[in-house]
This record gives sequence, structure tokens and C-alpha cells, in this order.
Amino acid sequence: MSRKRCAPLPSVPKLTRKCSLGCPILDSFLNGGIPCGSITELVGECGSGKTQICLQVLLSAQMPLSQGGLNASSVYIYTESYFPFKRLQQLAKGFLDAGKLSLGILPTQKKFIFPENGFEPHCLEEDSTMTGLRKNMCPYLDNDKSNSASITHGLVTGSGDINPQGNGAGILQDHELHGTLSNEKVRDCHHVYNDISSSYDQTYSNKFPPKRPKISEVDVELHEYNHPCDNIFVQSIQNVEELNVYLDQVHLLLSRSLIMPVRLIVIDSIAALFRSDFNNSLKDLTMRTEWFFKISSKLKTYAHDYDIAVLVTNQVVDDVGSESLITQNSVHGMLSGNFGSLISSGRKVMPALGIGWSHCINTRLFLSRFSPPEWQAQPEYQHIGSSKASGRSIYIADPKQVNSDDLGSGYQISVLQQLESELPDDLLLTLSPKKCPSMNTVSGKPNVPYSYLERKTANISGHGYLQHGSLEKTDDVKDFGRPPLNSLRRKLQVIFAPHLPPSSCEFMVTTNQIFGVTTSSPVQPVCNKECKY
Amino acid sequence: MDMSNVWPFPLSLRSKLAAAGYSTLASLQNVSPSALARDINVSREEALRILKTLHGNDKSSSHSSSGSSLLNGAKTAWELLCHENTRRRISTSCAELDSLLGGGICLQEVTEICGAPGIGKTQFSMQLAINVQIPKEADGVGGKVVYIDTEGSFMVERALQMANGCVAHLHSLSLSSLSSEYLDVDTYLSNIYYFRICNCTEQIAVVNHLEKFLEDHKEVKLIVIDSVTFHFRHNFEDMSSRTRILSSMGQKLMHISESHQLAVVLVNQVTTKFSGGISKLIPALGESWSHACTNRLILYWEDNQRFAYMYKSPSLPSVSAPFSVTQDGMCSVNYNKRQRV
Repeated sequence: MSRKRCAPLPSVPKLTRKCSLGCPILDSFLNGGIPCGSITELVGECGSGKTQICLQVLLSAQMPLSQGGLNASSVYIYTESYFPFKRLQQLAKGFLDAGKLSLGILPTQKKFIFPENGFEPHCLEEDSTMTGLRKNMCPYLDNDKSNSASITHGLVTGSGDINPQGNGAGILQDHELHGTLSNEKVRDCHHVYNDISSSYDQTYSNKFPPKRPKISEVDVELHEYNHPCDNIFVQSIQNVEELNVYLDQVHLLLSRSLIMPVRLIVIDSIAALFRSDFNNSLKDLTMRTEWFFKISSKLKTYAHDYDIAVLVTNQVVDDVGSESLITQNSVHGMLSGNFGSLISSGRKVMPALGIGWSHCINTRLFLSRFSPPEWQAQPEYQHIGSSKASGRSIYIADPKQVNSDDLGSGYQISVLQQLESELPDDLLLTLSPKKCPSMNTVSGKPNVPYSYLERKTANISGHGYLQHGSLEKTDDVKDFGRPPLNSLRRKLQVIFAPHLPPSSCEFMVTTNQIFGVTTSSPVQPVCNKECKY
Repeated sequence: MDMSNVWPFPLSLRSKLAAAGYSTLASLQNVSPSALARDINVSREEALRILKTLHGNDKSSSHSSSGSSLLNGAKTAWELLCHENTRRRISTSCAELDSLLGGGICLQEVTEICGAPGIGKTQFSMQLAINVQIPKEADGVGGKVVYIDTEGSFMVERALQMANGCVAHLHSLSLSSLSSEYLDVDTYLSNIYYFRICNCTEQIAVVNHLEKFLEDHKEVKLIVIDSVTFHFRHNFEDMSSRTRILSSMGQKLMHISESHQLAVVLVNQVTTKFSGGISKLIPALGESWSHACTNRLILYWEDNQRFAYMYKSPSLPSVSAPFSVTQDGMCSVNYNKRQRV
């Protein structure tokens, strides 16, 4: 660490800043969000939503301080396969549409050359803007994005008659450090050329004779739109030594004063770095433990020195019982954490990387998927397909009602998909166990009961039964009494944290965002009653 | 240390003493005048005069006039026993834990708390940091605390919650003699001297610096290091050098706790040990570190309930006690169950 450390003096510990998750329910569950100054771990099985939450935090970190964000850029280190760029763009669009983030406008100043004969101005620093700089980029930035633009939008100012607009504080910002660009920039690039040449024409032709003045260099004040994806630095890491080296380089990035300084580091996932290179021998395991402490020591130093949040994801392994690490309940066995209640997708799991890594983190959040117990209890729920809109599986309640001869499962899926597309955006379709008349008296076809619920709160808003080809709504029932019969429920659980009680919260993943839900009558207790709250 | 050349005796006498093997003050402490006379071949009165001169130069006050051979600073066991009974203890807010510890965390002793992640070690140390400040009128120690944080687990909002709980508890005692500052949450937070250290060099530096710090801040009655292990689990290729550094740190902390009459609480992690095909969890930092503490408390889970086990103690039995962690801090299990209803 090159940061100077002086003689030990007591410091006044300040209230920890938190990074919002972008959803008020999840934020209040976590008492504000991801804390700065310590390491938070998201652990869960594949598909439990870890990367989704990480991507959302990358965006919510850019929200202003008043809304719970950190007004900061982030560093995203990924170790498995590819960077989910499309998904990030989807979530960014969701954030922009919801108004949580806006395209930032950055004033900047660049020099233009106006050739005497031609109309097209060239930016003097074209080579030194994003395109050029990114070629000689510091090795930790992602170079494979070919969308580049040197200018986006601008108004020409110059010596003479054109009034400058905006403030004169044009400082060349640190654009060279932006790793990814949005498509909007490419579009606007062409727009600018048209703008500049047209305004040039307009202004000058009215006041001056057609002979053009010899302007060689003009100071241009530009406005640049900053897409949320621009504030995320990504890096792919293959093994732990590489991570060690990269973390030393990140130090330079952290100490730089950008418009939006880096205040969040996400590593997705840390488990992948350690699962292949190390055998199960004692020597390798000891070495692996040393790496844990080395890496986490560096991360914690940064977290403290620069007051940043560090989010790490981990995988799970199956909890096989007494033959692995201790599960005996005794002081000499010293149960390695209260893992009895970690169940995901119906099997007992525990976090990977063992107890050594558990000592390196401050907060552990467990993500799980589960189906409500009714599913297991009532085998007559039949899986008929997936909803096109949400991708969730749809089960049909009481299929005995459905005559399988002329209503195949394909029909049922298409009907439900049609129904889902007809519902307004803030409602979700699910199937309900409520009884309805089994046969439609009018058409003679069987009924398919359904219910729809509010997307945000997962509270049932209404229910009805679907008849052959049409949608029949019965009276709205406010409190249905039972939770929605979704095939997949997701839960976020606090395993340990210095500032949070062990408790859990359900959440959902949709195209636009990840949000927490409060169920009106939960299937399982939402809060583990260890602590009184 | 060879002091013989500064003794106020003529050279011949000094050489006689040196020849007989008496070169330090300590060697002359326990000898009787007749034995000394025999050894250096002088008269008994001469030997008595020698001893009196040396005892007169000595600043120690624990000698009786007849020269009964007591070592410098030594006390009788009876004095120690009386002193021990009056030693104050820091309550843990949990009745079962307090009785397990013989009344609470003892001053002038080094206590180590180890356990798996998430069991409540940081909660325990934060609770002690608040409870050490409970004033004497409320049966507390009334001191300040040095909190050395190596992992970044200390969260001010949690300390605030615990301080609120403590203040509520003091309110419920309704002591008229309590000054109002002890009922203000900010007082509790401002009495915590918080050090955040990020590598093992800093940790060693802070421990070395403690002596001077305590000279300037005499009201400190508790030192917490959370955790003492974290920075020592990497960066050491040579285990023996780590052992040496750790034992010197342990010695310093023991000396500080003894001389300044304060409690030292160290938080330790656990590691896995494979022996005979079974893996066990044991306190980290090795066997030699086990000797650095006076008391060792192990925290563990059993059936969704947290327990504390008195693993090592010079005077207390090895039993377990259950405890809970709530919004207001640590508390005993019955209290928690009652509150839930």
C-alpha cells in the first residue's frame, strides 16, 4: 500500500455510508444498503440472482447521495465467462426510465479546426479522445467495445459573434478512463457535425458576405451525455495472482479524482478463482487460505482508506453432513456457523471456500430459490410451460378440471401468455388455487383459475378464471388469504452482519429491475425470530 | 546487571563481594548478615552494615526493618487474595455469562474470545466497550475503552443501538445519584478510542504505542482488539517469526493489563485442524498463542442457540452458558424469550 500511514492515532468512527440497492424494500431490509468500509458477500447457488443484484448495485451506486446512492463509478471484476453487458443495458434502461438515473451532462472544451474550404470541422483532439486514448489504455480497462465517438453534441463558440452557451468552465474531463460507451454517443456524433456546420452556415451567411473568415482554431464548448454504463469499469480476471496484481492497479484508479469517483468494487465471483487451481491437499488448502487473507486484507484496506463498498459473490456447496466439516453440536466440534437453515432449491447447502474465507468478510447475505410448500404437498399441480413475458414456469391448478383431449398444454400456455400480455405492466399473472366452477356453463369448456397481483408488492389484486379464449374477471378480493402460487420464489437472507439481525426478505427479478417484495401472508416466516425486532 | 562498581564501598570490599559472587542487588536481597559475613570473611557487624547501606539506597518500600528477605515488589498470597476479591469486573449484560465469568470480565487479566464467524464475537466486544463505561454508582467500572479494529467490523450504528440499550437499562435502575451525562448516548460513543489498523505492522505499532497512550489517558479500563488474528494469517512465510512476534505482543498486553489495571479482551478466529481423519475447529494462531491469555472463552452454536464455554481459566470451572444477541445488545436467553411474547 503506497498510501502514507502515520503513527497510530485514534480516529472518530463515522456513521457508515451505505449504497442503496435501488429498491426501498431491500434498502430498509439491509438498513440502508451495502455498507462502505467493509466487505459484503452474496452467496447463493447458480441462478439465485447474485449477478443480477451486483449489476443493479453498479447502477444504483451512481444515484445521487440524496437518494441513497454513492454518486460514484464502480469497478466490476468478473471471473466467469463473459460480462453480461446486455443485461446491464436492460437494467440501465430500467433505471433511466424509472427516473432513478439520468443521462449526465458534462461540460467540456475541445478545439476544432475549421478548414477554409470544407464545411466539416475536425476536432483537434480527435485522437486524444476516447478512441485514441483507449488504444493505449491502462491494461485494466476493457478495450473491446468498438462504439466510439469523439464528440456528441455541441454548440460552436468562437472568437467573434457567436455567443457561447452554457458556462465557460470547460475542463477536459477524464473521459479517457471510461471503459464502455453507449450507442447514443455514436448517433450523436453525426448529429454534431450537422449541428456545427448548419449553425456555422446560418450565423455567418446572414451577417457576412459569403466569403468565409479564416478561422483555424475555434474553442468549442461541448456537452457530453454520460450513459450510466460509462461509469462502470470492467475487467476479466482468470486467477488469483492476476487479481492480486490488478488490485494494486485499482489503487491508482481509486486515488484519481474523477467527476464520479470510484466508490464500489464488485468481484463476481471470488469462488471461481479458487475452485480450480487448488487441490484438496493440506498444503494447497493452507496456501489457499493465505490467499484469502491477502486478497481480503487489500480489499479492506481500500475499503477503509477510500471509504468504498466492496461486494463479492460466492458459490455454494452441498452440505453433505457429518463426514465433511463439523456439524456436531459441541464446543470441540464448534459448529462452523449456523448453517442448519441454509436451504436452496430444496437441498441443504453451505457457502463455498470454507471457514477461512468466512473470516475474511464482514457481512454475508444468502440468496436462495424455493418453491412454496404447497407445491410439494399437492402433486396435482402440473407444470405446463413458461410465461413468455417473465420466463417463469406456469403451473396449472387442478388440471383434473381440464379435459386433456381437446385442451393440450400448448393451448394452455398460449392462453396464459396472451393473458399476461394483456395485463398492464404493473401486474403479474400467476395461478391461484381458488376454486372456481369447473365447467363453464356457457361454453361447456373447463375453467382455468388464475389471479393477478401487483408487481411491486406481490399482493393479490384480483382473481378470476379463464375461460376458453376469453378473460372473465370475478369480483376483486383484497386479501386472498394465501400467497401467490408462483413456481419460483427468491429469498435474500442475512447470515451474519455486524449491524443486522438474522432475517430474510423475498425479492423478484424482472426485466427492468430487481426489487423486494413483502408478502401479505407469507408462506414461511419472513424473519428468523432470533432477535426481537 | 552488574552493579558492583557503583556500590559505595571501598575497592577491597567490592572485590571480596565480587569474588564471593555477589554482583547484583538481587543477590544480596535474600542473604542474612551471618551468611554474608561467612562468605566474604568479614565480621557480622560489618556484613549488617553492608546490607543496611544497600537497603537504604534501594527505593523499595516493602522491606521490613529487620531485613526479612522479601523480593522487590513481592506480596504475600494473602494480600493477593484480598486484592483479587476487590477487583472490579465488567458486566456482559447477560446474567448467565456474568456468572460463567465469575462476575464479568476481570480487570488485570487478558481474556480471549474465539469462535466461528457470525457467532457474536464482535457483538460481545462492542457490548463490553459500552458496559465498561457504566458508572460506579451502577456497579460498573466507569472507565473508557481503547477499541482496536483490524477487520472493519465496528459499525457506529450498532454501537449506538447498544448504547441506547445501556441507557435504557440505567434509566430502569432509577438511581438518583447518577449524573445526567451517563444517560446521554453521545457520552458512551465519545469514550471509545477507536483505532483502525490495516496491516500487521500497524497492529504491532499500536500495541507498542499503547503504553504511552495509557499514560496520557489514565481512565482507560478496557482494551479490545478485534481481531488479533486477521493480519497474522498471511504475510508470514516463517511460522517461527510469527510465533515470536505474537508472543512478544502477548507479553506486552499482559504487562499492560497488570500495570495499568485494565482488562484486555482479544478476539480470535478459528481454523481447521485435521487429526486422525477428523477435522476439528480450533482457535487460530497456534498452540503457543494459547498461553498469551489468562482466560479463554469459546463461543459456539448448538441447535440455533449461542453458547459460551469457559475453556481456560485459572480459577473458574469449565461450563457453558447460553446467551442471545438482540437489538439492544447481548442479553440472557430467558429475557429474550420473555420479550418475544
